[in-house]
Amino acid sequence: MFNSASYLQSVKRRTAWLGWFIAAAFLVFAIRLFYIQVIQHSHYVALAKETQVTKLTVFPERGTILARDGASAVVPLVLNETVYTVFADPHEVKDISKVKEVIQRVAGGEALSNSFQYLNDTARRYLVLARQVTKTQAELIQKENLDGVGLQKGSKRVYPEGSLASQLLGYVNNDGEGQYGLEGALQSRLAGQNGSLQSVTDVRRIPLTIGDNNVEVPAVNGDNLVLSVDRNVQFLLEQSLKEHADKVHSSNASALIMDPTSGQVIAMANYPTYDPSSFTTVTDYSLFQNKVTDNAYEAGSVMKSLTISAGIDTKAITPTSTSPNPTGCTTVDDRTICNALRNGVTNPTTQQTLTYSFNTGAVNAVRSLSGATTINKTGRDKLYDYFTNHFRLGKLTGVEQSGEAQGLLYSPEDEEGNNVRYANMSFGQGMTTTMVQMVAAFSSVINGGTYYRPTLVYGTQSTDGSVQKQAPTVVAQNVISTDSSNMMRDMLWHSRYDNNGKNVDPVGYRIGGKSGTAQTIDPKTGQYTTDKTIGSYIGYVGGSTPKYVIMIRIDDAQGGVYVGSNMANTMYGDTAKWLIAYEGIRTE
Amino acid sequence: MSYFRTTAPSTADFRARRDTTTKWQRNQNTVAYAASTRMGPITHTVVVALMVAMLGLVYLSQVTKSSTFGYTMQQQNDTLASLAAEQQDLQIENARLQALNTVKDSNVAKAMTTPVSTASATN
Repeated sequence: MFNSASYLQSVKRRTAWLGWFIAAAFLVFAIRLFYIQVIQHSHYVALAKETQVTKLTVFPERGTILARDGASAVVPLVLNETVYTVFADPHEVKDISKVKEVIQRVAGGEALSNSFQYLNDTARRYLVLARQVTKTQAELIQKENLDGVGLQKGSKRVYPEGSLASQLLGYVNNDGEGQYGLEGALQSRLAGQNGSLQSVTDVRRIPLTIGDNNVEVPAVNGDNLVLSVDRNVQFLLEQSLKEHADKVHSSNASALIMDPTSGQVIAMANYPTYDPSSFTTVTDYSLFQNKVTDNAYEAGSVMKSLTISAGIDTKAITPTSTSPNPTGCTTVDDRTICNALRNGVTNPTTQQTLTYSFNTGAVNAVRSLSGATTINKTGRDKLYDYFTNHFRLGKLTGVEQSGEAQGLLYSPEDEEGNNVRYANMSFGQGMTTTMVQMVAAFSSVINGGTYYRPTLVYGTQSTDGSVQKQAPTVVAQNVISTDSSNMMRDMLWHSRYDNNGKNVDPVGYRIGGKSGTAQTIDPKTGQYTTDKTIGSYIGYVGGSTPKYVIMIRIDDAQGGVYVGSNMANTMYGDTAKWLIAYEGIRTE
Repeated sequence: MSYFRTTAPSTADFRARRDTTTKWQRNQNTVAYAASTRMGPITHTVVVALMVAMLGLVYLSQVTKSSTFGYTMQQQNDTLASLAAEQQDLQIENARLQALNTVKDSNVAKAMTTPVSTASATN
């Protein structure tokens, strides 16, 4: 049977069928493999990479902030500290009570005790147990070998000098973003740039060197900024500000010291202040504000120094030219403007206007700019031109501070920019400026007529510790002529000397200045009030040339209208003397 | 393909090329060495398989070796990061010790007395 021809024929046929079937099956496999390996090659390569290759972000280190310490040294104001977040995977935790005990014992105040109740919840895979634990604490936790507990590295800002220059510095929030002050203004410079690492990794996400698609773009660390601020001067200024403000029960006080020959800020202080390392505990958010730069206010009589500079530079007035002041009051349109000192000099010179702070004299300076006995559009235009284009009031200075205020000046073209407005503006009312604008403008008045951009940055520190200095930025030259500047320097010196400078200032040094008391607007009535005033003093200190410009501002001093400006004056004198000794300024 | 010489070649092993070649060219050897022992197809296959396996082993050892570099690098990086963190801590400690408030509140500063006179000698 098995040898029959038909059977053999059948076997042959079936074998052939089987052969064809296997061939067909292999053809299907071949086609499928061709489809997968050739046509869908890139798709599967991408899938494989997705599984095997990990893309990691390499975070840069935020730049540190340093201050100058005397002539050449630098000291850190803001550093980075490596800290760790302790987390648990409840699914993997075996001994909950031990985890609780260790974390509470080691992390202490950094432990988030509320999280412990979720350690039983195995559905959770990530639970933060403690934040910002130090390296030592992290090592202690690691030694305990707690199952299901891990450590995540991070960084936080630390402030070795405590609250020194806190408003100037600002802080860094929990998302790593700079807020307020320098941290906010120079966020991109300080933050640096993220790098990336694309590599084949093992299951623990440890990069392996195999693979030809590994890419490493190193992170660019943020700049280590060296501030022009001298920490000793800053420390002194903050202490002095607190001491003087407390004496008159002031609610707020601010101070600024600038180098008039470069625009570099030597110290910038506010009182009250806060500790940036515990910014989360601050409830009064106004404490974060640097009022030197972000609070535009009516500066008061310190503005007379700029009004008279404009008059002198246009030759509309001279130091000896006189203006009538028979009653101590003057009328502009329908308003009467009076001096604080009513029974003063009847026919004061420009110098006396500055020395005794006559409002009528400042108004007369605008009349002189007008070329008439009354203020007119010509005079308003000239004053506006000097204030905005020469002294750059109403414009951002560009100082490296977040939220700098611009201030407000009404143009003569505006309905609000009328004669009465400009009469008020001549003595610093009816317009707003910031302290940094005032100091920058005042510096240009006494330094020969160059307006420097105010800056807090002295340079950057390299990894080898050397400092690359940043050149001062000249914004405008010939703000006023050199002759006018010399004249103003003398006038400002007389202004102080003829008041109380001759009694309190050291002999042989040039210390000039001008006081100011600004009325504030009562929010209830919308009218100016003398109940709350802003007392200030602005001046320069130096030997043969001005070395520093100092401005002090004391708000809401208790005890009288002029208590604030008197206290600012006193503090100015004390600061000037201290700076002369500290800097070793030589006599003229 | 390999050839193995099992015995010293005899003169018979060297066949004159002149006999077989139709064209004689300059600088061509006049004799060719032919091994007396030849490998069979199974030996060939085994040898090739062994060579492939050897190459595979070499490849695997290299890959493993290079991947262990990744772990070594990771360890080095961890050490570096740890040292950098330690350096940071020391810098912070140093800065805190030199902070003005620390200096001001130090025992040395507290022990200082105010001089009766600060006038200096002048000539």
